[in-house]
Amino acid sequence: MDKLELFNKVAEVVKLNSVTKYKPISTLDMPWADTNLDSLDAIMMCVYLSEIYNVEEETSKEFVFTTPRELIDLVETNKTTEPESLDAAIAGIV
Amino acid sequence: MISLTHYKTACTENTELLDDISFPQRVNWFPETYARVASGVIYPPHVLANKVIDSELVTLLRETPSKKTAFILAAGNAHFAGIPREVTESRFKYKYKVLPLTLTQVYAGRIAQMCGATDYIVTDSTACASSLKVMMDVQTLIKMYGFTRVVVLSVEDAVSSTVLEFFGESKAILTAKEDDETLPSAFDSKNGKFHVGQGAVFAVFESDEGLQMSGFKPMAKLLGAYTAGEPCTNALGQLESGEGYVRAAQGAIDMAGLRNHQISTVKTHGTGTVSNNTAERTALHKLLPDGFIATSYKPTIGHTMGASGLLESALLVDELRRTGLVPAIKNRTESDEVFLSEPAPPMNNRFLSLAAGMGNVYSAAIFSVE
Repeated sequence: MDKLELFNKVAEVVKLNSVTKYKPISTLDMPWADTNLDSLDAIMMCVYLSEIYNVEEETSKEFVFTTPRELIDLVETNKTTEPESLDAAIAGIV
Repeated sequence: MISLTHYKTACTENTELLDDISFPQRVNWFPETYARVASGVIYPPHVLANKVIDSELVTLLRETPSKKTAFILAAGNAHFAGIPREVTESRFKYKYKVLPLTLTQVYAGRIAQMCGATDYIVTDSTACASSLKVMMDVQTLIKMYGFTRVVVLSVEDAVSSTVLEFFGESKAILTAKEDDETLPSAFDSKNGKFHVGQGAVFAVFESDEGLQMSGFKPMAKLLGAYTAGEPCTNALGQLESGEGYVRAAQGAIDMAGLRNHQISTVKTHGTGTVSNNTAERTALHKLLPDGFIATSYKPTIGHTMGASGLLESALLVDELRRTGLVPAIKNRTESDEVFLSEPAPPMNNRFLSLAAGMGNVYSAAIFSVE
């Protein structure tokens, strides 16, 4: 699964109905501050991605990240499952 | 004048018997709100709120000029469905993982930003009077502080494990056993009490200046609103004299600049409990001795707790605009000219709306339908 595409899809769910429509990012390596995702969005991104990859809540609570890739890597490292597809991943959080 | 320009409601007449909980009971609810709570990424109050937060309306509010805009979340409690205690294991027990959004003011901030309602952002936690109590706040903000628009969202997850247990323990609701012999109704000697119900309402109020700026069309006017307490030693109880209802209703009538005889239609709190039947009936006969007709929505849609006052008022606005009739109180077996057993035409376009909450709080608002 393309991690950038997954990140953008999950971010769309997080930003649903928000003041500013989410603009997909083009690289996972940009600073978090440039993603248009605020600190509350960051918590939601972490919770949602951890849900998709079934990361223990106690583990994900300790995640510290400064870029989208760092978050994705933390989730990858601690995952206990792998979604079958992008659609299956999103279906798990909406 | 204060105009109600937009409203959207969510409630259901459909009931389901929940027999796998510690106090089995029938509820009016949307099962999908609890479909995946075990995951911890779904929060029922938010799912319920999303039923009334219309993205097109939210965009319209952001893009339509307003001088000063407020947002009020009438949540019924400071923490959604928030009785912080351990509840019995059931399919309704869950742990939502996005902790900040369980705090009503944080959630209010998020929704207020969506609506562009950022000059004042508050929450209200006056239990089941919450959404009608904030009508007094709407009135104050517009009349005293120059606000041109106030956006109100009211949602409380009535079908939560804490609420189901609380009302099951207190025996205010119809239990599954009672359901065999009694139907939810109000002001009736045979049927009574209520089912818990899920509901939400989103409403937009504007001042006259606000209407000029936005071009929105009024659907109803908020003529007056008032909230009062009463001297009762039991914080869960109501005085049989109906003093709290009298204080609130008289306050609203006075604020509207009306005389009591000009009110002839009442949307009651109408829970159908013995104590509320007595208190509200006594109060209304004291307040409106020249006669009135009264209805209650709770027997039809359940008790939607904090959302009920404004939600039910919006339903009556809808009904009066659509059919011109005040609906009957469901399952009422008695027949009189006051508490409706059949739909009836109102004497005029005004109605008094009442709500009460635990903690000795009573709210009243008077609306006129355009």
